Amino acid sequence: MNHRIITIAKKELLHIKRDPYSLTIIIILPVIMVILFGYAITFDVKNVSIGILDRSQSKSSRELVNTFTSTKYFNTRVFLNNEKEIEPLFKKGIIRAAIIIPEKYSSSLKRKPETKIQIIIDGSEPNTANIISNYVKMIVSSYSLKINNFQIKAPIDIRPTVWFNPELKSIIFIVPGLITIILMLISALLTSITIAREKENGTLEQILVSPIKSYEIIIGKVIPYIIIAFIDSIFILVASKFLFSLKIEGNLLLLSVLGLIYIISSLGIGLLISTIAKTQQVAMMMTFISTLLPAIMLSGFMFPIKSMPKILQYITYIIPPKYFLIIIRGIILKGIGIGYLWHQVTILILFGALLILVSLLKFKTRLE
Amino acid sequence: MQKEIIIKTKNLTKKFGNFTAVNSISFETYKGEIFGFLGANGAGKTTTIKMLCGILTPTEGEGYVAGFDIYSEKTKIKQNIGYMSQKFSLYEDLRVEENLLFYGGIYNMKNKNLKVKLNEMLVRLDLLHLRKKMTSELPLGWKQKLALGCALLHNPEIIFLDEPTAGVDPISRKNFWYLIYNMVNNGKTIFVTTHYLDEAEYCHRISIMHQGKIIVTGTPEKLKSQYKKTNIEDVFISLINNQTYES
Amino acid sequence: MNQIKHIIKKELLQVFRDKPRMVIIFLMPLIQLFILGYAITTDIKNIPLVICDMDNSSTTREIIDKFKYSQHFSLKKIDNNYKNIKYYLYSGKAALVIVIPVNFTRNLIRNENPQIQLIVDGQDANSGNVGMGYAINIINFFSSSILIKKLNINPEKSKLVHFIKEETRIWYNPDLLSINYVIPGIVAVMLTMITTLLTGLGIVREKEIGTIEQIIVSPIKPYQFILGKTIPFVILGFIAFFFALGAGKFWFKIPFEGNILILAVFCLIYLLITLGIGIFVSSISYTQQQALFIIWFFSIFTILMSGFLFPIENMPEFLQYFTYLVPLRYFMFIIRSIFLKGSEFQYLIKDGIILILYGISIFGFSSIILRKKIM
Repeated sequence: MNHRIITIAKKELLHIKRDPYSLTIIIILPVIMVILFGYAITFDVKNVSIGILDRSQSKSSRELVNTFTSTKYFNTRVFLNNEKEIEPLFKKGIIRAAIIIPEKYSSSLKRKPETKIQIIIDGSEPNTANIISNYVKMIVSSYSLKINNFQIKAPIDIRPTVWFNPELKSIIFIVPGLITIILMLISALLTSITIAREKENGTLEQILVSPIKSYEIIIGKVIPYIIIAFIDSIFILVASKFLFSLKIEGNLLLLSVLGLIYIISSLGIGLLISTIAKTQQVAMMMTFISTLLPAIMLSGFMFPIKSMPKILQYITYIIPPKYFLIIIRGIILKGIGIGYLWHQVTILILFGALLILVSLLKFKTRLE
Repeated sequence: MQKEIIIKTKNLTKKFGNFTAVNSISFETYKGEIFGFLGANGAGKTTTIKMLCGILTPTEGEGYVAGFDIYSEKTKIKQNIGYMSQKFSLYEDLRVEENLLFYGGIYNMKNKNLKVKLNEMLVRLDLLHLRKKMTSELPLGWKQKLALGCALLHNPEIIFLDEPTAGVDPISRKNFWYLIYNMVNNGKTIFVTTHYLDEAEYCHRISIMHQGKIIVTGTPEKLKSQYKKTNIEDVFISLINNQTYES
Repeated sequence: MNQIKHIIKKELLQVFRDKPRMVIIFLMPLIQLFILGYAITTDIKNIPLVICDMDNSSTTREIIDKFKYSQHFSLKKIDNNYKNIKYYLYSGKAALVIVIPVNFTRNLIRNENPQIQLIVDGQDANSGNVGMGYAINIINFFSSSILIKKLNINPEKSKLVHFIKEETRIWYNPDLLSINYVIPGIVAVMLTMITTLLTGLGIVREKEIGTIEQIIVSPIKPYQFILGKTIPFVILGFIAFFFALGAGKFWFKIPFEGNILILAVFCLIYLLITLGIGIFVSSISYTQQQALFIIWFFSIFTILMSGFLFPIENMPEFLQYFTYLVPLRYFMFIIRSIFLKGSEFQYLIKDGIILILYGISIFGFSSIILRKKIM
């Protein structure tokens, strides 16, 4: 390879090596993020504390209560004496839901075709509330069938199956997203900062007076970060394989090649920013706002794009991580080949080419 | 005539890990004189100044500034000194007068007095026409004057100047020394470090530092006659050469 | 007091002249609030759906209509070839496929419990889970309407049946809008990030340009320096905070049930913590880049562990213990309780006291570190 590029790359590696803070963060951050995200991000609602106001105090009402608390969803119960106690418990955050069994529950259950019980749910966490409400429905209807000795069957037999993630583990969804974001973070943020730093220190001028070409500077500066980004991705994959038994269904080679395309388009953003930003601080802020936030929030990393308002959905089309997420999830989780991914790959290549071209042009004119 | 000692150190030492930046130096500075510290870059001049101003804590040895101990009476020392660092520590995004007001303010100067002193200082430094100018837009020579103004506004007894003329053009340097003489005439004591050897001639007494040690102290005239040289530059070169030779 | 006043004045002058910092203070909250307010949604809507209807009868069309008009689903295609299912799921054209088998209607009439198969793309566990729940509910609803029809035909049997029916009432957020949950959280997160970042970067910057030395040689006391450096950001943080609250209430129409004064007091206590962390970070880092990295890392940890998006009680137990170390956890509880539940002071005392203890110890500790490291 070109000797001047290697010289620049070596110097860049030295910078990274000599800054132990940043180095530690670059290497440890991904692994810690996997662990944190893996364990902390879970929408599985379990162990809900429930308040019970049993006005019937009968054998059948106690049976109903036991049916609730013997599930893994509702394992802590707080017995209440009257309805007024619910509000303070909600406000202190001690219970999330309450069941009120009416006085005539037992007799009504024997005589009437339909007996009502009341459920009150704290809706301040809507997702949890929604899931609790579904659990309650499920438990009540299966208990209903049970007390009728299964004389009546539901007319339709629903058979759900889950593909790609049969146990519905959140981490399976998060890992590819984490890789997408860390690749973006390293390629865009570090590139823009490193060039801005040379501008601030005046060392860029020194380099520019040498016979080196601007594309050589850029290639030399970004190679170390591409390597780091790759190593980080491997760390994440290995960590999630051992900690969360993630299975990789697809072809790793294909993933690497497409990953490289994505990295190049992210570098393009970093470069473009560095041609505009004069100081590191400005570079950081610009990268943060223009890449990191959208990558986390609007790429579909955690929040489904389809649920967003239409305007935001249009914005997501200009966010490269969105396309790479589809690629990486497809390859890792579904094991699909390039045949399904041409659309995304083409868009990424176009993005990359456009960004690099614009920033190369700007890089030249800005500095000459 | 008995001269009043205003700065005094005894075996003052500062180590950074294994590296000894200042190696057991002892000297005295008299009230009302310009005391110069000469030496190459890295000789330990800045470290010495930082210890005397209370920015760095010494590893060993004693030191007194204006009669106060540099270990236990830092606050009292700080009231009596002005300090100007080689970096000209100014806020580039503040205007000229805003920089002065700020530094006056942190010396607890009250508003009315501060305004008066500010105007006096602007006149004295010939900065009056630039008072509304953004500091980042000033040429280096003016920044140097402004930095001096910031260090002087609270009227300190002793003024520490750490390489105050580094990188400044000859005319500005000359003007600067004119200001320094002006202060001495008002009874102030100046402690200045420099590596411009011609500036040493302006000092009343000088110490030459080399690799953390003071190798000689005296008036410029005395040193020149002692080493039989016509200027301090030659004195310095012959001393340094001897040192390197010995070690 | 005079010295503190001068630092505050200088600090504010600098902030207003520094465009990138103005961006942090005023643009970031706007972006966070508006983009994130809309983007972060745990509502599941428009799940791409393909129905593979191999029966093609009026009954199956009735079921399909139920899905067509549900806002949770967006019906992409009705197909009748089972072999195409793989394509829909692998290409991501569908996240849910409903398979209605041949002879479904005939078997339904004959009481033979025909199957309906749901195939869920489980990659996004939450959407998958919730989406599946919606689909089951829709089919169950249809199913029970058929059951009732049948029981009406056979009144003898219906006497023997005793059903329990649950009546669900949801308090505080009856429509379960996730925005009501997210916005108060964003306000708290925003306050944390801005104030830590500004104090953190502010002091490091003085280190980098060397002005801090000039301050150290002055007789200013460390506490005066710290107060002077932090009070401007208390003011700015407070402005941003109430600005965001206003936007939440008037733009996003989030109900604000509680007492704003109580919230303001807790906000002040919480600022003690974030500013303390800012001071700490700036004492231990040498460049703004390092400070930024540390704060960034701290923010991720804080945001994840505060229960901002992922309820703490759902986390594994060992991780729940970690959350006690995150001050934002307590503030998050307080701000949400005041916003949505209108909780009075007595319900917030416990978390409030913990916040105060954290505030005093973090601010005190950082001030000592700053004194040792810098002053």
